[in-house]
Amino acid sequence: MGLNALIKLEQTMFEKIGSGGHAFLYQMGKDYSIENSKILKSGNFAQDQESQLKNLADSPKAAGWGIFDIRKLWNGFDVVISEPHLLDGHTFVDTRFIYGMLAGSLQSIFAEEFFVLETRYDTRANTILLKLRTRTKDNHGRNGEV
Amino acid sequence: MNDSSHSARKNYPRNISLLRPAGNKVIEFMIICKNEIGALAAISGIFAKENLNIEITYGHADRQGNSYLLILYADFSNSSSTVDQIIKDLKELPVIHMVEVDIDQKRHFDDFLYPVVGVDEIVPW
Repeated sequence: MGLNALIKLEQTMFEKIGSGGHAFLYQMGKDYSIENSKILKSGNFAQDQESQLKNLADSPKAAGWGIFDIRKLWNGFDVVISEPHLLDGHTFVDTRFIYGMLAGSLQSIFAEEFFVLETRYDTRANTILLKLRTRTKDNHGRNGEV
Repeated sequence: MNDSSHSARKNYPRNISLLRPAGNKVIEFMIICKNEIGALAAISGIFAKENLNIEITYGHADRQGNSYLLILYADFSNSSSTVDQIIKDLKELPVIHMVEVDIDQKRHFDDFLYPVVGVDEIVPW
């Protein structure tokens, strides 16, 4: 499925069932990437965490989602997405599918669960900042830096 | 007489992810050359001369038809040549505009191609 079609599908889901549509697409992205990660954990692919992170960044780039810079923090990851895919080439849409993909891939690599703390789109720079944080029994995946 | 119907013809896989081929001496080259007759023959001749097998190629001309973008993965396992020597030899060809390589053996995906475009989208390069 093309990226425009996927983004429009998420928009339609939001119109039909509200924020549950976003949650549904986030979960789809997460489950998709967890399954995909099983392939990358087999065969001739390098398995050290540094290589897996690099290839995690390259995979959505190959699919056309953007150019990914993944920065590891003590409590999660900051992901900067440059030149993100824009709907019909010009409209930014906050797509939960790709956030779910990243969260699922990181979960596969680090055996930890992550949640989206914040996303921010910089119109001038055409970049997305995605803050993913480790879900713990203390924060229960709620927003707010711990 | 050949039967070219879909039912009779064998289909082959379309590799759209451009995954790096297996092998620890496989190097990705990104070459921009003139879009003219014989350019690809001249380039592949450089690799053949040094006993380098070309594992994957991908390429297309730009919208104006002046330049041609070529991605290829070359296997150095049966060659005594070096990446630097091949770059030098390529750059000496009159058809070459630019040569870059990605020597990261741990990378699964190609390093040079973005964004993904359809046939109806115009992205200058």
